[in-house]
Amino acid sequence: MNPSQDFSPEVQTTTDPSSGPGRRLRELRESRGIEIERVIAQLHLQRDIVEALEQDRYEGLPPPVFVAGYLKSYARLLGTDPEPIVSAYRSTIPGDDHRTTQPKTAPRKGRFSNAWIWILLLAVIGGGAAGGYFWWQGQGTQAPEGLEPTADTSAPNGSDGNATISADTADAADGVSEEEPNDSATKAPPDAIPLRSQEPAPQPEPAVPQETSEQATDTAPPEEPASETPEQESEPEEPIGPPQVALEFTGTTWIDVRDAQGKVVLNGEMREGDRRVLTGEPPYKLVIGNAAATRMTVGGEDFDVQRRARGNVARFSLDPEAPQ
Amino acid sequence: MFFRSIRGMFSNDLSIDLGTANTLIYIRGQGIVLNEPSVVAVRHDKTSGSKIVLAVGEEAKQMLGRTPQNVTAIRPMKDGVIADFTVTEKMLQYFIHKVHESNMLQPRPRVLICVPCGSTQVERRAIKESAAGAGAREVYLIEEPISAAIGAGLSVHEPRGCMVIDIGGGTSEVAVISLNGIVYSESVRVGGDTFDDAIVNYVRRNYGTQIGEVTAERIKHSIGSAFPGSEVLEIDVKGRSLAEGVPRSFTLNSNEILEALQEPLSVVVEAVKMALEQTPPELGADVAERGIVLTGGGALLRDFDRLIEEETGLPVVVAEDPLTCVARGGGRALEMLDAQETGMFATE
Repeated sequence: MNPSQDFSPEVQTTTDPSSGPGRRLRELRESRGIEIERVIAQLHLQRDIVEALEQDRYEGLPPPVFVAGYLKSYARLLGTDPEPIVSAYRSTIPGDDHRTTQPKTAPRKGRFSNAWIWILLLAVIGGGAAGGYFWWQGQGTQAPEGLEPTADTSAPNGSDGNATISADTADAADGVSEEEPNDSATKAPPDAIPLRSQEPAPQPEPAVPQETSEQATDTAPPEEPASETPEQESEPEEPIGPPQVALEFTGTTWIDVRDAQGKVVLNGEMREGDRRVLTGEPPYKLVIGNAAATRMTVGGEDFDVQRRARGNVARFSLDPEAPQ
Repeated sequence: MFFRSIRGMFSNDLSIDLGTANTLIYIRGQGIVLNEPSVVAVRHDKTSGSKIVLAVGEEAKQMLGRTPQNVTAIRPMKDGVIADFTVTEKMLQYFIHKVHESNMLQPRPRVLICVPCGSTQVERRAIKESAAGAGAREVYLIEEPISAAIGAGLSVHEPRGCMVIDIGGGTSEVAVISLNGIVYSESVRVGGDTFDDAIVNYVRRNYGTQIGEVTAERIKHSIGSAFPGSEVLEIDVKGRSLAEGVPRSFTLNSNEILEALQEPLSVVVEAVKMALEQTPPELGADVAERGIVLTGGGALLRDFDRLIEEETGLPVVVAEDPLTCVARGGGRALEMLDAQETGMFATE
């Protein structure tokens, strides 16, 4: 059975379009002399729902998708075009957001600007990190060839702000600060890494102590190999500073050491067998990642790093004058 | 991992209705941005033995049934699930790139895909992996009736039953939903494609003429109806006469198509009746009070709502823009994903 066949299809809507869709349908129904019971039966709806629809009372009714459907069926039953009725109903719904799927560009814009902020932030952080890394690398590799003669001259000198770390194997092994360079200088330590050297940096030539000693003395005093002349041997002995702090590593560990000024004295990953002597102005602030693999001597005496460690990470301040 | 999340910042969250007939993509805040047929044209390179994707979507659909020997136009989805995994992946990849055309970076969106509630674990995993292979950063699944109900504007979170019939291209889903979950669901492998096949068979049987799927679909859209109407519509159709082997023209009317569709329509009606029978009484009362909501492309078949209404004696309403309900509902579900309301998502 087709309900729309019961009524004449050529219906002219004579009702006031300004009234609600439900009222328009009711007026249309009444003008055709159709009983409400018939509408209820045809639409399979309850009486109170149909009455509420006709009175435009939508508060207690099901969600809009149903009401729009009911109105559509009702309009179709009366043989009128359902579209004006449904759109009139939709215009009464505040915030009816699911009737259109039109693109809204605002959130997209917001999302993209948000993404750009993230990218810029990451670029700034990345740039900073890269800059820092290259600067550190530049400091670390500035004068790798001239290490032998200069390592000892600069290493113990903490007073001039020269924060060079000398990894003098002989030095560290003896654990003695001022007196020992006499011996160690002659041995020309192979792996001293100056982190912040200023004078040693421009040295153009590697030290070949035995063969080029005459040339070296002619050119510049800092370049001279420390092995020959007694003046240079005695140079490191002159400043009387705090006891030397030496670190010896028996395993891979990360370490960060800063002096009293907050300057980085030593930073990075140390490997098994590495030895470092701290320079810079004490007291030092140390963070040692693997305390169990670190042996420390202060003024030649063993310093118990593990006692300061929590877990295996030691964070402590050290004044070489009063190590405990 | 880090770069994936960076690219993710430049990608929009997508809700994909990976349908048998059409694929729809909804982007949060933008609405439906893509609605294309789920068709891929593949060229077989005989020298290297490889397959090359020639066209996807609308362009590929135009090639359906009109391809030379080395080109095949494939519908990689069948009955709501993946029939050809590789081609589906390529198709998804194409669609995801298409909606991110303006992006410089390769998109890595979070994707929500709607799956039929009758799909198996294997079929769901295939869909998930296909989306992941197409570039999705995270893949979520949601059952189609829930997504359709949300898209239709139903309050699925309430402790009140609502019945949704989603008639898609390959499957029809009937579900009773309450409290963000499916109480009862029935999935039948009958949909728009079955209607097209029924028309093809009817024409072959009664007119001795072979017509293609595309023509059958055009007939369905133009004059198809599910319930006898007041007016009889007609359409001129061209097909190949099986007896003479030459193309011939004839006229079909809407009553004939109604007759042709009787069998698949009765399957859907039976599924609805079965669902009503199985629904717990409290929820059944809710459904009887409010009615049934019809979504999916099949709901556009003329007077389908009236058929269900007459068969069940319950009010039936067609959701607005029923074709996009599932995708839009998925989009809203994505918003709920951020609000940690994840109870409605389907597991594999």
